[in-house]
Amino acid sequence: MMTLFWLEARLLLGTRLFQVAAVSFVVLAIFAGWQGGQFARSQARAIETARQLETKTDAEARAKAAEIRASNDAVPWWQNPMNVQAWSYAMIRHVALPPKPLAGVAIADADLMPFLFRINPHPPDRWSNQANEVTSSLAAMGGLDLTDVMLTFTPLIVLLAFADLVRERQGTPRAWLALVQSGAQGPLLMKRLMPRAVMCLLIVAYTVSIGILTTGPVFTASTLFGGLAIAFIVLSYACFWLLLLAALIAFMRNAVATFAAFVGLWFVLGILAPQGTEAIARWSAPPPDPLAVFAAERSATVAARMNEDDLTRAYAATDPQAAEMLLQALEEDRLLITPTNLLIQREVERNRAAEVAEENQQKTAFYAAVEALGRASPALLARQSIYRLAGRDRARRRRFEAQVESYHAALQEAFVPLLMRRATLDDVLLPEPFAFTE
Amino acid sequence: MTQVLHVFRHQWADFWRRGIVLAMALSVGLVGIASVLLEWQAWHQEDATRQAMQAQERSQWLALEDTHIHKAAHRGYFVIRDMSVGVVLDRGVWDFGGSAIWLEAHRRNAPLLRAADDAGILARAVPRGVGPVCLWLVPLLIAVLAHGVFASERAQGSLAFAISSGAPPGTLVLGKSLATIALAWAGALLPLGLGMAIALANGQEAAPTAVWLVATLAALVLFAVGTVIVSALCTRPFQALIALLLIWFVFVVVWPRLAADLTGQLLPLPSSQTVRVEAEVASEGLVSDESKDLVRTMLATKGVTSPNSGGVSAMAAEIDAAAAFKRIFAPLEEGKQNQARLLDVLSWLSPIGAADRLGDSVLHLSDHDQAVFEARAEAMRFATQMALNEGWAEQTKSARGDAVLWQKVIDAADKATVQRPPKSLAWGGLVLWGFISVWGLISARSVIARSAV
Repeated sequence: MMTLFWLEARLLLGTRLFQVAAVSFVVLAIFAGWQGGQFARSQARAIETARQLETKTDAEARAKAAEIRASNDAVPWWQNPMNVQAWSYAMIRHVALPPKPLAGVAIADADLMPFLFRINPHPPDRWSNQANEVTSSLAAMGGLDLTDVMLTFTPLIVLLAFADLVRERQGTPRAWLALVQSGAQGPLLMKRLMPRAVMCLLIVAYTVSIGILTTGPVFTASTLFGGLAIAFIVLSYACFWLLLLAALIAFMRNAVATFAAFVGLWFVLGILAPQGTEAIARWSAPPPDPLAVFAAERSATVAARMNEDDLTRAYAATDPQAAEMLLQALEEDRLLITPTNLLIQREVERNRAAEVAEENQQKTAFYAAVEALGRASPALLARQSIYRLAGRDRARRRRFEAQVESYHAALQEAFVPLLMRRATLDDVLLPEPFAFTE
Repeated sequence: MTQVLHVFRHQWADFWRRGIVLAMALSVGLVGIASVLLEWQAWHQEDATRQAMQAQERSQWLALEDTHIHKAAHRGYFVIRDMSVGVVLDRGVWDFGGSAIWLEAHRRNAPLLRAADDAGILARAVPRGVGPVCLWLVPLLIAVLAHGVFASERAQGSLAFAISSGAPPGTLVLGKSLATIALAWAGALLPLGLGMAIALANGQEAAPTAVWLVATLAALVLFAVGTVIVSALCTRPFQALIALLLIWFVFVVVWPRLAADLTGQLLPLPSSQTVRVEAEVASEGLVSDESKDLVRTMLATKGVTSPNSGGVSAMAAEIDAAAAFKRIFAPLEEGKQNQARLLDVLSWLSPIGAADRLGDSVLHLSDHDQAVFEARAEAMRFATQMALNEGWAEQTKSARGDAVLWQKVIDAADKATVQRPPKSLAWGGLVLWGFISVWGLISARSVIARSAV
C-alpha cells in the first residue's frame, strides 16, 4: 500500500503542470497573505493614530478649561473649549471597528466600508470617514486575499491532481494494464485516489498555513485556534471537491464529460452562487430600495427645511435658556446652521421613524435570507465562516453600525441642548471614548 | 479559398453532428438572454427612479420662494448621475462608484448612493451585463467543447493521414479556425444582438455600441484562434483541455484581480479622510482681498457698480474654496486617473480583460466616466454657488431669493462642463493579442505540417 502511495505521489509531483499550479498556488497565497496582513496593519495603525489624536486634544481642552478656571475671567462662549470643539465640526471623537487578530486572512469588503469615523454631535453627513479611496475598477475587483486564493485555487488543484486518473478512465493502455494487474476497478481506484487525495490535502494545508503565517499574526492561543479553524474550513472545502470528483470519476465513463461536469459545478457553485444567492434572497425577502430610501430621506429633509422657522420656534418654547438666542436669530434673519441642522435631523427622524423601522425589518429579513441561502453553496459557506473568524463578516459590521448609532445618540443627548444655548460652561464636557464590543 | 471553405464546412459539420453547436447556442443563449432581460428590467426601473429623483430635487429647489440666499446655499442641491442603458451590455464599474453628490456652499462632498453598499453578498470580479457574461462563458465552453479540434484528430491519426494526402497545413489551420470562430459566435451573437437592439432602442449611441460589439466579438475570435493553436500544439486532447482551462483561468479569473492589486500597490491613493478633513479645514474663513477685488471687477463688467458686501464676500469665499479644493484634491484625482491608465495597460496581458475595459470605456461606464461625473459635480457646485451669490451681490437691502434667481442657478448648473479625460488605452490589448494570434497560427501551421512525419 505504501509503495503504491509513494508511486502515485511521485507521479503526481513529477507532473510539470501540477508543479506549476502548486507553486503558483503557494506564491499567490503568500502575496494575498502579505496584502491582507498589510491592510489589517494599516487599519490598526490608523486607529492607533486616531486614539492618540483624541487623547491629545482632550488633554488640550482640559488644560484650557483649567486655565479659564484659574484666571476667573469671563470667557465668551466661542472660546469655551467645549463649544470650540462641539460647535465646529472638528470635535475629535473617533469610532472604529478594530481589525481582529486574524484580519489579514480576509479583506472581503473592508476596503470599501469605513472602519474609522471621526464623528461629532452633528448629523452623520458632517462626519468624516476613513474609507479607503479606491478607483472604481479596483473596488469592483476587490483585494485578492488569502480566502479568495484558497477557495478559488483549491478546486483547481484537486482537478489537476486527478487529471491523469480522469483521463485514464477513458481507457488508455495504462489504465487497462493496471486494471488487469489488480483484478478489480473499485479497489484499484481507491488505492490510486487515496494517495492523490492525501497529497492534495497536504498541499492545501501547507499553502493555507504559509498564507496565514504571511499575514503576520501575533501568536496567541486565540490566533492559534483561529488559524487551525481556518485551515480546517479550507481542508473541509477541499474534501468536498475531492468527494465530488471521486463521485464523478466513479459514475461517468467519459473523461471530457467528467472534466466538463467538474468545471461546470465549480462555475455554478463558485462563480454564479454569490450572484444567484443574492438574486434569490432579493426575490424572497426584498430589501428596501436604496434609491427609494434616499429619495424619501431627501424629501423628508426638504419638507422639514421648509418649516425650519417653525421648528426653531417650537424648540425655543421648550428650552427657555435657548429661546433668546434662537428667537433673536430668527428676528434678524441670521443663518443658524448648527441648531437648524440638528432640529431638521430630529424632525426627519421623527417623521420617518415608522418607515425606518420597516426598512430595518426588511433589511434584517433580507440578510437572514442571504445567510440561509448562502449555506447551500460550499464556497459561500466556507467564505462566510472564514470571514467570521477574521472579523470581516457583515454581522460584525452591522453590530458596529448599531453601536455607532447608540454612541452618537448619547453624544447628541449630552451636547445638543448645549449647542442650542451656546452655553458658557465652566468645565469641559468630554464624552467617553468609543469602544467596540464584540 | 475553396479548400479553406471545405475544411470549414467539414469541421462545422463535425461540431454540428456532435451537438456542440447546439450546446454552445443553448447554454450561452439562455444565460445571455436572461442576463439581457434582467439587466434591462433593472435599468428601466432604476433609470426612471433616478430621473424622478432629479426632477424632485429640481422642483424642491425651484420652490424655495423667498428663502434667504445663504440659507439656500447651505440647503444645497443633489446632482444624480444618469444611468446609461449601456449597463444592459456591460455593467462596468457602475456599482462601485457613488452616483449622487450634494452640491453645497464651500464644501466638496463625497459621492453617495453606491450600489455595492447595499449588496447582501458583494459579488466582486464577476461578470454583469451580456458582454462580460459572453466573455466569461464562451471561452470556457470553447475550451471544453472545441479543445480537440486538432488534438483529437492527431490522437486518432486522421491528421497525419490528411497531411500526407496533400491537404495544405495552412488551409487546415485557417478552416478549423474559422469553424471555431463561428462556434464562438454562434453562442454569443443572439444575446449580444438582443442586448444591442434593446440598448439602441433605448437611446444608446450607435457608434460606441458598434465598437463595444466589435471588441467583444474580437476577443472571442482571439480566444477561438488561441484554442485552435493550443489544440494544434498539444499531442493529446486532454492535454489541450487542461492547458486551455488554465489559460482561461489565468486570463479571466486571476489576472484582472492581480492587475488591480498590483495597481493598488504600485500607485496607492491618499486616505480620503486626510484629503476631506484638509479640505474642510481649508474652506473655513476663506475670503481673500484679491478674490473680493476680482469679484467686484467681474460684477462691474455686468453693470453692478455697488454690490452687496455679503454677496461679494460669499463669491470671494467660493472662489478661494474652489482653488483650495483643486489643490487639495489634485493628488486624489490624478492618482485615480493614473490607476485607471495603469489598469488599461495591465489589461493588455489578457485579451478578455482588454475587451472588457474597452467596452466599459466606450459605454461610458469606466473609471474615467466616474471621474468625469465627480469633476462635473464640482464644476456645477461652483457654478451654482457663484450664480446664487451673484444674485445676492446684486441686491441692495434684502438677501432673499426669488423664482428668477433659483432658475438662474439651475441653468448655471446645467451649463457646467468639464474636459473629458483621454480615452481608454485598453484597445492596445486587442491589437497586441491580434499579432500574437497571427504568429501563433503561423507556428501552428508548421507544427501541423510536421505531424505527418
